[in-house]
Amino acid sequence: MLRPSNIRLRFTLLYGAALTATVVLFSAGIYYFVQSMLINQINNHLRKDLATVANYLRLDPDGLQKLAQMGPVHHFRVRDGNRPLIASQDWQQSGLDPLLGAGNPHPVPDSIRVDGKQLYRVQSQLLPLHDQLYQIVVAHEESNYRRTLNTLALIILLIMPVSVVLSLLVGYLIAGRVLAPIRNITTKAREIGAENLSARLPVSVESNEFSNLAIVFNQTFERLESTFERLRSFTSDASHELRTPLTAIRSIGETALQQQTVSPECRETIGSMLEETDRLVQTVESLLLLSRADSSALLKQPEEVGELLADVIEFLSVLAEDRQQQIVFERNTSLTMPADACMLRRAFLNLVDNAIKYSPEQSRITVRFFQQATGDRIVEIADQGPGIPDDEKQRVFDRFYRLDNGRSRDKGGTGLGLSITRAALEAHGGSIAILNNPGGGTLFRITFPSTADANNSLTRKTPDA
Amino acid sequence: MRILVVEDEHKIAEALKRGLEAEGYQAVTAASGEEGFFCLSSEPFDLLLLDLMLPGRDGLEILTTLRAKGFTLPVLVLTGRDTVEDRVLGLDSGADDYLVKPFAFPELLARIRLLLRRGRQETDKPLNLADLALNPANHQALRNDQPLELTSREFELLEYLLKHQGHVVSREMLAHDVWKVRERSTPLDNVIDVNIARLRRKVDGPYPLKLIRTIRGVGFMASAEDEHAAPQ
Repeated sequence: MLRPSNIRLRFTLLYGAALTATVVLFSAGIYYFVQSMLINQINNHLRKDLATVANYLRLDPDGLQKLAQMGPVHHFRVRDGNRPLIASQDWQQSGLDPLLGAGNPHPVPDSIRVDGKQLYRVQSQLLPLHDQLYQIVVAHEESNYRRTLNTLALIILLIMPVSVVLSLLVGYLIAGRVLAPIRNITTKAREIGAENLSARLPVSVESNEFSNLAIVFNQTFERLESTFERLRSFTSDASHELRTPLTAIRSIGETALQQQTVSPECRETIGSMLEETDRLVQTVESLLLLSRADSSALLKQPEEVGELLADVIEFLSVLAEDRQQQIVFERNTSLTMPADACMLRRAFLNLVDNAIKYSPEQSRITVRFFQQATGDRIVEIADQGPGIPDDEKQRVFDRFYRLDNGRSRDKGGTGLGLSITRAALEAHGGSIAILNNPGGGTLFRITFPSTADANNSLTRKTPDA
Repeated sequence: MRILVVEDEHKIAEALKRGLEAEGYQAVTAASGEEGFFCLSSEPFDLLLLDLMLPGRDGLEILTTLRAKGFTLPVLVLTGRDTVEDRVLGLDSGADDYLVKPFAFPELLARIRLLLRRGRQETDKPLNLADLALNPANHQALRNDQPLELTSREFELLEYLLKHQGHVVSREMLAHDVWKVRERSTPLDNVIDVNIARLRRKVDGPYPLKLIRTIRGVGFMASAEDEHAAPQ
């Protein structure tokens, strides 16, 4: 499923290039070393041959004849001034003569090609002796050495592409091997982000770059988790702390209303205060519910989503009837998953209640539960109300966010309904979005990914703070 | 009937005492577990109202000790913790019932009444209020001898109100006992309100004597008394 990552490709190419360059340099080095070694060898031969011929000239001029026929110096020619004195048999067959000038044409070894075929290495020397000036030229066939060099070059050229391919392959494998821990860490880190912040990346025993990376990641997760935890426990603690004074206010107010002596005006006042207290109590309860959803401290049991929806619709139908609205429930699929029924019910409850609240009388509310081609289960709740402006579509899920300057406050509610809905859905692996309703009005779409069943099997049962 | 209230929050304890006395109970308050224990050992009580969060010895400890010493009086626990685990723990340790703070006082009264007359079965008994008659056995409701067309939910609601006639019924009580929903929510309140309104139309609509009353900020009450009289 993982396509070759950019880094892997780059590493492979770099590695291949480096290895190829090394092989090229190494081969070139060997080639030139062998070449110069061979040339030196020939040059040495030439020098020795020159010395041999010179010695014969100096000490045994008659022996030259024998030398010319029997060797060991095969190619040589001696001239006395401008007159040919002697040339070996091999020399006469070589055809080198016309290519050599007078005087000292090749004081240092030189390569000469005869008729574009045979290659000879030639060195000449002038030798003054008994008032005469002798020119000695010796030669060696170079073609054999050339053949050796060419074979070497061929071998190198044959090995080169193989080594390039091999180095790319090895580079690719090494890159994969090196990147594997990173892929591991990424996968694990993604799981941790999605599932629970309390999990940690595995740290290998031996200390290396990757274990360091994992450690740094873990430290970040730790900080993240403690921040989350603090926020969560703050919400929860604050809510709990508010309960005692709320209990006192409520008890005092309600017991005061029991007293026969309280005047009707006083009764109104206390009643009004109690109503507000009740709103505060509900806000506190909602905050606790939110922190419970966030902490995923949910008690999950297998539940059928369609059944919960049907329950909620039945439960709220009385409100719709009251406004002469019609709720249409199209139930085309089913989804049984581990769920906190109370929490999930609450999510649907808020959405359907919203639809009823914001739709005009005698309108229609459509709830659809179906499966997409991708396998995702979708719940759509569409109303015919005024809809939600585009720029507010994200913010309506924020805590205490209210549309339309508190119009919703008149209709009751704590301003936490949709945040509870979102938190509850996310705690069940679902997501929610507001789409454009083709028929006008608001369209809430809940998506349960096809893997939601599997994801949620990791149910954690943690007691509430 | 004597009730001991063990509650360390002075204002709550005072309010409870006042409210219970207004209902005709004798109430004694204790601010700590030790004090409560002393009261129980020296005087007889019919019911214990116990806050779980106490300074010094925790409410649960007190309860366990009490039961171990053979005290059998009914105990109603008040708790700020509302997780399922805590509830089970509370009942396992010998509590007869619990209420989560912030509770509604009418609900507290209803629970106390229930605990004090425990043992006496009275289900499906016909209920009457003025010219309203309700027979749970055959699901029939009559007002002024005219049958009322009630949905089953409305019938349950009316039955519940009549069972608590003369006493205020809070929304929490209706949510728990009639709708069987654990958590309150705004939609639920709306559902309760709509049902009450419909019930009122059917039961009280044409009659001058209104039997179902709204007690602002507290809840509802079935009563045949004059609208302006104080609720009990």
